[in-house]
Amino acid sequence: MATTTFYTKQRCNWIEGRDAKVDEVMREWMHKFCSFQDVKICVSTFNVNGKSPQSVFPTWFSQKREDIAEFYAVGLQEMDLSVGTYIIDNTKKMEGWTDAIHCSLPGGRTHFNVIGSMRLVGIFVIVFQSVHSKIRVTDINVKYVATGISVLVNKLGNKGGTAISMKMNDTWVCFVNAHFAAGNNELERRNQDFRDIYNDVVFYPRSQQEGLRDRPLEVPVMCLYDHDVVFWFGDLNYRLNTDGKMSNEDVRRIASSEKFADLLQYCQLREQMTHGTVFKDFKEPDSLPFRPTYKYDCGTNTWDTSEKGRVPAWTDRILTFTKHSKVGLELIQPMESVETITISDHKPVRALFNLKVKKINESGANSVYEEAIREADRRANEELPQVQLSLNEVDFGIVNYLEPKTRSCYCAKLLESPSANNEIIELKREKIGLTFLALLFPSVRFSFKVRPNARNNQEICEKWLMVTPTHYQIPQGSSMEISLTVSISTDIVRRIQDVLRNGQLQEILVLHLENGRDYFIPVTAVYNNSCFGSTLEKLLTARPKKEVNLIDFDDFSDNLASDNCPPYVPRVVYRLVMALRVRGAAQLNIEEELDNAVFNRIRSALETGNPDDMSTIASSYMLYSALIRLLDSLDEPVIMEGMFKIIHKEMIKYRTDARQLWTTVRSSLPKPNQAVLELVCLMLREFFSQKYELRDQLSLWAGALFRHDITEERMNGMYATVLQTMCDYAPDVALG
Amino acid sequence: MAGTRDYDHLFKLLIIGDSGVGKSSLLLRFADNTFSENYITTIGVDFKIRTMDINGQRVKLQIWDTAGQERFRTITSTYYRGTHGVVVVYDVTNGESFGNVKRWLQEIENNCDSVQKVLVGNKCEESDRRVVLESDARNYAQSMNIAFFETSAKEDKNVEPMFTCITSLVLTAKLANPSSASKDQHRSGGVSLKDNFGNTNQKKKCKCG
Repeated sequence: MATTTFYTKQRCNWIEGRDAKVDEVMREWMHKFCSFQDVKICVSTFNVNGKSPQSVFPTWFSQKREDIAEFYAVGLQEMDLSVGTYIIDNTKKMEGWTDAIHCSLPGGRTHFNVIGSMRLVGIFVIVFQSVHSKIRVTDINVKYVATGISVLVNKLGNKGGTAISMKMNDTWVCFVNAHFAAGNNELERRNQDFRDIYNDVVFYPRSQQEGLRDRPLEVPVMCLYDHDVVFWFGDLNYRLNTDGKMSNEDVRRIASSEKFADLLQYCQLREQMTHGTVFKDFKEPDSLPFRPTYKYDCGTNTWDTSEKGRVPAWTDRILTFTKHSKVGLELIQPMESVETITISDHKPVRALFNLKVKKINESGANSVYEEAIREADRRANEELPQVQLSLNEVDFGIVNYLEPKTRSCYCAKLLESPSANNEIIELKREKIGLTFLALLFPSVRFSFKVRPNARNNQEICEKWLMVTPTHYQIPQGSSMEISLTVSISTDIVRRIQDVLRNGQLQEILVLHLENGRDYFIPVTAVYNNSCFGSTLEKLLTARPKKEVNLIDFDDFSDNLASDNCPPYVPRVVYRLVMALRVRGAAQLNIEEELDNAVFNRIRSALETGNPDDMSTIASSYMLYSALIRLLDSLDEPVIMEGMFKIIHKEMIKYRTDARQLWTTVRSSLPKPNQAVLELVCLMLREFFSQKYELRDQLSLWAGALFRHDITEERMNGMYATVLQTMCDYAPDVALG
Repeated sequence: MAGTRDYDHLFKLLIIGDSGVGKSSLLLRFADNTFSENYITTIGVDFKIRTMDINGQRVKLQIWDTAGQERFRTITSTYYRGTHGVVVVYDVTNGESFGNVKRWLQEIENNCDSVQKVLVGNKCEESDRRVVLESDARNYAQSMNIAFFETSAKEDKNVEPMFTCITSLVLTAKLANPSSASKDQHRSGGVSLKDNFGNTNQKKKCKCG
């Protein structure tokens, strides 16, 4: 069925570190392609205070059969304090200590080989492997970082760290031995020592070291956190900070007693780790079941009696880091100090770990690799945000001028796995009769997008629609109400015909989820054509024409009042004006508040013709406002701008000359516009004569009739003057 | 180790075609290997990712599934931008959907500069209800010089080869002309649509009469 396939499928091999998601799956599936071997590793740290070693320390390492480890990693500090060491590389002390440690290992030196060591002045790390060990150790790399006092460019190696990285079968292990800044008040320098060493202990894999000088940036680097396991030990020099609550004597008394563990709460290192300042993701046993390892009088187990009288502290520590939870590293015996070794002012500390060293079956790994990629993709797809909307489509039905209508759409995050459905909270919203789901899952952000091909390029939707909120983060376990409101305001209703499509208001909202998909929400409404937002011509044809003399205003009969409507005046305008004139200016309270419900009643009465007599259904002020709105909402202003604003210019020019004004009106405005203008002026003249202060309303009326740019204050006054002149002199008077 | 990245190429594919021809089903089959009998109209655009190895190269695909409904046409056309390959789908049991293929191809012409295409007749398992002959569609595809497949998302027929084909076409085109195909790529795995829509944080002003 398919066309010729011109591609070939090649198997790709798994390279760890390329894709975190795939690596995660591969780690979970490790049992499918890895075998594991238990390996005991003993780690010890000892600040030797510059002393020369005894030939052997029989108690340093446990000689019990079950405690014998396959690897021993030892870190020494202050191995050499002689001044000359800083300048001339003297290996004598190192050789002595190497021998001493080697001989102290269980079974003696014949049972172990040195597989790596690194020295920075007195900071020395060495790793031994049992001759019986079957573990294949490869990729051994060493590194030192000096953090001490700077002399010229180089730092002296009195403080810093030395590290050995290696691969045990397929498990990357790194041993870091460090000596941090001393002194009670040097906390920040100790923290900085940690950061410096952590940053600078990087290894260049052996195979790549050759071309290193040419392209150093392109060579993959192995950082500390790239190792499966890191053992970090040494004299970290963190002290006890009792905040002055305890004297040195108190501390010494407790440190010597069985209650020494109570002091750990004052340990600076513990405090710094709690704050996340240093050793993030590193672990140390909750309790240290040995007395502080510093500071003793050499050759004894008594606390420092020198002049300085140091306060005891756990300066010597062993911490571990594992790359992820699947690395099987376990402390198999309580960490301990060796109090029987007294040559230094510190005591050695030792710990015995079991590490599950893995061996990757490469063909096995590559065979599950493709499956792992699919699995990683599947998880990535599951993590893409999805929401459930309570409405796929919003139909507002019939909407009216100045009668906003609101609908709500609920948005809730969707669940991926069916099992999690048990946690769904079902909520019912009576308001719109919809059931939706609020889910206890991570939040999702949404925003409405601006459509590129929308007529108004800046807005997310057309002006008749309002959406709130336009962007939000739906919090965990809840849903979000999005409110949509259709509102036909005056400036929309004026050009409503342009906005309508197939007689409908139509819009499509684009709801975008951050890092996810888009939803389209069509919104429709039917605009109920109104006398508002119409044209004078249309309003005129909406009633039967009847020739009536202009003078016959007061001639009421049993017939409908509006039957007397003069020609060229739309019946709706006439009905409002008549109702207002019947009531008179006395009843007009311009302080009254606008009531939208009353306005809608007026609009409905105007459109249905029922009741015909408007004076019975609303206050004068509401009728008055409705009349202004009606004129203001017309498609074009009563006094049109005409070509190049000729009419407006003329009227501004002759603003105090009633004869010229009315001549202009008669010669340039269509009949219906003239008739409406004359009717309004007649009404206003009556009102002004009845209530002088209503003249304050002139600029409002001018605005509705001229619809000029009201932000130009100078012009506002001029237009008001024009209107005033026309109100003061009726056309028949002005024109003689 | 640091310094490497998780894919060699990132491509955006788009699935288009009439409403109900099975665009979402093809995507679900290809990305999640699932199929649902329930028909749910896609209202909007959805995407999924899938990583493939083609000729030893690691290709990350971001596949966009679009709403087929006519009324969304003007909006969906904005999602063509930055697309490397388009899958045009019709339903072999629906003659009209095949007739509209021409319109969809025109839509691609209007919205994309250079893009790889594949024509797909879906639901080929429905042999009793078939109205579009395979030979007709194949001839048409040949005349338009585009690749052609008949697939069944339901029975998982030819879905994988079809997507592999379009991906290979995109990859080949990119390798032949590396500069033109790479400019739309974004490192972070998302083909950003932000540019299409400008500032997404625009607040709607409250306009009251």
